[in-house]
Amino acid sequence: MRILILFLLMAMWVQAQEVLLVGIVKDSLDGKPVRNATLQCSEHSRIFHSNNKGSFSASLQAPSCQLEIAAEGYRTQLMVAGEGNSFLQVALIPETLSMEDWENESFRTGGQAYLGSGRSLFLRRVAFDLGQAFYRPRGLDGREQLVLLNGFPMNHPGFGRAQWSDWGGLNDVSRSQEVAYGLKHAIYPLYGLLGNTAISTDPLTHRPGLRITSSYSNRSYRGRLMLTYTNSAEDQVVSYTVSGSTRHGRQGYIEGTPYEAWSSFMGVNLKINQWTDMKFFAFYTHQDRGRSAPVTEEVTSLLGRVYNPYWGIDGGALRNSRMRTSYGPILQGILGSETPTFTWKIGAAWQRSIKADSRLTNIHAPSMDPVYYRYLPSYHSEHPVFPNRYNALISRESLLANPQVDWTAMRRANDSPILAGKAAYLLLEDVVESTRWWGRGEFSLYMGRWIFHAGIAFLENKLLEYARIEDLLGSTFHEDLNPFDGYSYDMEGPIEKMEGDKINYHLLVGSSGWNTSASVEYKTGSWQVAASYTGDFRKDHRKGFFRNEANQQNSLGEEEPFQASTGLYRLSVEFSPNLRHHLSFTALAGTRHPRLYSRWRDHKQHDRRSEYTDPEAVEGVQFRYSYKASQFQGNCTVYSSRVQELPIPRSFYAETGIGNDFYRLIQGRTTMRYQGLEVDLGYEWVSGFKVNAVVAYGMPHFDNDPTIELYVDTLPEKAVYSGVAALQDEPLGNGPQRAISLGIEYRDPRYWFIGTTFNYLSGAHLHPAILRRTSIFTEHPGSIASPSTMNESVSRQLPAITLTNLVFGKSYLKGSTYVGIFVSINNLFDLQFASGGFEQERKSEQGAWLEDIAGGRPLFGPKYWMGNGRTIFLNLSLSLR
Amino acid sequence: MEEMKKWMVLGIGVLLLMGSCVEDFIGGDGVQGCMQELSPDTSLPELLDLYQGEPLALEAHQIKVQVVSSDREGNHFGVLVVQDGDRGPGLQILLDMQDSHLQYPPGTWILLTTEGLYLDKTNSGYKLGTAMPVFGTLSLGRIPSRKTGEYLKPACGAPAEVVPKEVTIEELKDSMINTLLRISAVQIITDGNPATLGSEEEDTRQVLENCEGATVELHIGKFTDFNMDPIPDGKGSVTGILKKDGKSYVIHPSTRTEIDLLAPRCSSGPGDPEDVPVEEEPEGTIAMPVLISEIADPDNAPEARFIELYNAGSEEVSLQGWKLLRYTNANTEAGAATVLDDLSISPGGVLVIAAEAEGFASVYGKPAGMVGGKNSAAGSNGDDNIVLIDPEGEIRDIFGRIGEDGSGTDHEFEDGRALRKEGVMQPNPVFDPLEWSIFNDTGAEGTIKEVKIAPGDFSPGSH
Repeated sequence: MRILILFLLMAMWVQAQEVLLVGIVKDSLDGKPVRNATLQCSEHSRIFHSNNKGSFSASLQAPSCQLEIAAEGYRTQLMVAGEGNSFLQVALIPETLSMEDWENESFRTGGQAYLGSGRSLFLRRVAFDLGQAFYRPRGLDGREQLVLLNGFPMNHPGFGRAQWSDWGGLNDVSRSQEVAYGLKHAIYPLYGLLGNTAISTDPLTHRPGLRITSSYSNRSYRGRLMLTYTNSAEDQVVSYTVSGSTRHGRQGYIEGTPYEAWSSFMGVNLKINQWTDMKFFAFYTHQDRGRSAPVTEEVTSLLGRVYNPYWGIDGGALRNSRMRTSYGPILQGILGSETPTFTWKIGAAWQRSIKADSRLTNIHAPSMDPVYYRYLPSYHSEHPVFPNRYNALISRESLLANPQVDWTAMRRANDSPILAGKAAYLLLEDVVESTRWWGRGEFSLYMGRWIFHAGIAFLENKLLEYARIEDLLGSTFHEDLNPFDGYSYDMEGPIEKMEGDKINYHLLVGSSGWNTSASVEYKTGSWQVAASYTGDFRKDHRKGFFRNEANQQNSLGEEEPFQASTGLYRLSVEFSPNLRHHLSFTALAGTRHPRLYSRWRDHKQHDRRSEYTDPEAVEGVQFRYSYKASQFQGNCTVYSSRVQELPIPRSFYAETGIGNDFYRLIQGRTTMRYQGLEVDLGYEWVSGFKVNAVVAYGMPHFDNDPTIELYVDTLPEKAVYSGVAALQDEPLGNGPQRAISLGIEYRDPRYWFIGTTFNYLSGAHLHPAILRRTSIFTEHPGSIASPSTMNESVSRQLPAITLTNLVFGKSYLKGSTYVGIFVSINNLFDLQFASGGFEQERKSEQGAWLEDIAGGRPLFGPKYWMGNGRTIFLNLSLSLR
Repeated sequence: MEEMKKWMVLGIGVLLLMGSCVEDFIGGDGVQGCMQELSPDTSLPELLDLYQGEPLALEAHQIKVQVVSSDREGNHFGVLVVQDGDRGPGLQILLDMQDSHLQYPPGTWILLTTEGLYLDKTNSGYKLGTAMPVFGTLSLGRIPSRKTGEYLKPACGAPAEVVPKEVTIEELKDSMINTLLRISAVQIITDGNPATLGSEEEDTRQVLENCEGATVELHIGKFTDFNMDPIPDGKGSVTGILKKDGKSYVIHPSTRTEIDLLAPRCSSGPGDPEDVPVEEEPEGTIAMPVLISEIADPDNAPEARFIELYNAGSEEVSLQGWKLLRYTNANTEAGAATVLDDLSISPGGVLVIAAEAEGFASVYGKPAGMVGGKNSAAGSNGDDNIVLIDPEGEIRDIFGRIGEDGSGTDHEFEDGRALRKEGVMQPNPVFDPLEWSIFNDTGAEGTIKEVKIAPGDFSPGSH
């Protein structure tokens, strides 16, 4: 209490130091007020907004500053504020055409998390150029970034990453994104090492009127149509936006990848009084898309970069065996008030989302994967005992003539009288039905040089998971037994399952808990210090609906919940001696919960928990220097962080020193080190002509030798192998980690622009095969060398990638009607590249592995994800006011 | 204003055009289906006649043949044996395809296209495959999996029936190699053999003899599903593909059911008369050969469920101290015991135990020998296990496996009937599905999918 009084006294004292600034923002052409313009003194100070009448009031900590005024659809303007200039009249020039606008419409190339990051050159490059080659900022997983949709955290409890498809296609309304990258201070809860992206879909952030956008692309969808209507006017109590979009295509750049999606949105803002408003948002999205597969070098060399083994013709139509379907609504309601000195918000949200991934299963029947190792030429040519080049030629011929999934053969097999209706092949779906509830409250107090922020949130997640028979492919039933050991998956249900029945596993995992966060900031003219804390209490539990024969006592029913508390801390110090230089130092440390799926050894089959119950530890520091002059600006960041993570267990078939089996791999705490440098430089040579450069140098490495345990289905209680994987100092399996991007852009006053970037990326590594780095690899009597010598001879590094991208745009403005056309071409020179991949675990016994690689064309060599060749994106938009 | 409208119309027009324009890049249809009609231009004997003693590269021939082998239970591996109707010899086609029985079940007629394939003949008959040079010598390789469909095109529809040729051991000859034969009245020589049909370590050759003393070998591969089954201790028929190894003929059955040896062994076989159990009565068991002979779960009348016991011996058996136990579903403890004290069965006679007295009488028009009750062994709904216990408390006979729910297994008789096969004259304390004909509503695991209707489909009171 005493501290609070002290704070208040200090706040009253510093209140006197600040300068109050008022003003109005107008459109320079028609003189109409521009609302929701953002006003900010420096990159790091508080943001103020203009109201419906275009007017604003802001309090400055410094006696004067260079005020940046930005609004959607207008050119950003800089003005000196303060020093006697306490009333500002700002006339913003409409931006009929901008790179940012193009970027907002553009096709996401993988760096979607930074789409709205219009202000940072580095993040723009990540989103639109480097992301194409699966460059990940700092080498970190997407789980390190907290994504908030209207303030509600959207990261998936199981995987940790946000599911952007939950609001996919609604680009018009999710354009307003506030990004705090890396360890940068922000008022949002602490979560990971990549900061946060806060998306706002408030109708007041959208331009009034109708907007129609149509796009053509050959990247994933072919056509997109998007319509958005916003109704809001001065002094209007109710403002609203409705938006809808469809995306569709028979296939994208990769063969046989159909795409069918539609999305809808409604947002309402109810003005209660000058300060207070109430907002409601409803989203519904539906997406079906065909997936593509990573393949070996042999397959790409035979069938090309666009080859996809997942599809085939069934009943005369293209059918992809691995469809990803996701759909569901999100409802949100927020009540909040914002005054210059105090803001508060309370809100509640609900989401239901259904995600289903289909796949083919063969039961005592041969694989139907057209590029299964037994069907490839190398199976014959590299046979250790009887190599047969004739057969290699024949398989090559047959693969080239018939490279797709043979649905008819599966139906024929299922029709066999021997099976008497039992399925040898079926298409199943792995389904996750998730239901999430949020409740939250927060406030910010602005007291002169002090800003206090605190929030509390309740979050409940329920993930109902099961496999479901989608198509019996002509058979009449499926015998729901583990084909390897004959155990029943569902002892208390019928063994024979029909279409639509749940099979294999059926359970619910959930978490619920409280998240509390608080931050305090103190500013002087040139210094800013901020400290934040986020505490998280979580309760995890599992409830099984199937009694699994291999785990009779541990599969059915509810287990005791597991609960834990974690805490993350951050300290940030910033120093701006003048408007040109800015220095910041940030450090973050603490603990957090492992992803929900890491809690159990095999949550789909039983409730035995991973023995690693301690929370994960993260720590990181970053130092940043920014320089800003009229023609030149640049930023340089040096970072170093360490993450101690509990990987999600996985299963695979492997040949090891202790036998061939389906193994469940539990990898214990794995420490990873991320260190590197990020630089961006921009120079406006002459008016409208800009050159810029981005350099990133990262070195993500393993920082320990994680423990490894292997389990088999038939013996779930006891590990059949325990050991450690020699991974210390090995590079992480990741996309490119070193990048140089050079760009030139020219913007003509006659409403057209052209830009090009040249990008060079290197340092991508395959994900390492874990078992090959353990003693199990050499346990076989036939083995001759130690694992370290074996692995040194095999580099996991992928070749460097060169990408050239081109963008062109032209727009027209007639009265209040705006038409814009943008074209972008990625990978202009159509160069082939692999953006990442992984070593297969199959040959995890030294003798078998040596035999496999001996001929130089291994059957179980690495699999690669192939990047797109030359692709085009064409966008046409029309706005009517 | 006019100009603006023009812009709008143009803009919207282009937008809609683009939004709906979707290109289609789909490639060729790679489906391999079945053939409505098979039009051969060469017969199998004509093709085999072309062979001149060296591996022969074949021209384009179209040959119609029928599949007679199956790799389902693993005793044939990497090979599909075909023949031309009932004519021999047949042909082995070497395949890389696993589980080829799914695409080419026995009985399927196929059109064999030979262009690019090679024909060879070894001691074990004609073979067809791809070329495989081994140290400069041309040998035959297996046809790569995904190419199989181009060489072997199946006829549409259900496979035809395959009728094995009935022969005796004495009649075997080289022209029968690679054809499907049935040799009757044979038994496995058990002297000195391990107790199982085969082994998981190596291929096994059992010797089959007939009562006249002629022998032929029986091949059980190490990857065969039934290689750890006990050797059937009886006489009967063995069906399989004839092959030759050196100078001996070897028969390769495709499935366990093709080894059908349930009848009593030869009465004075030349092999090992002292081992033939039917001649002597081992202690206790044969003295009172009472066995479960029929269990009924009529689809139309659950009230007409019953169980029947049969006395296969030549003397009357008193059931004093005997019990019938029912292990419901997967339970490992008996749920109900039916005490059979004071009852007896005459030689060749039966005892019918009904679940319900009235239900039984009204359906079959006669009373049962005794009434066990709905929860007794007589009232089983088809997925329970039933055990006959003798006065010593020993399991005398069993139906099903204790702890295993019958649903979907080889001992489910739901809505059907379990009938002890004719010729089974002894109880068996270890359940052997081959001793039973089992009818139900699923047809799983070698049972027959055929629901049974009371009273017509049942025979309480006679066995």
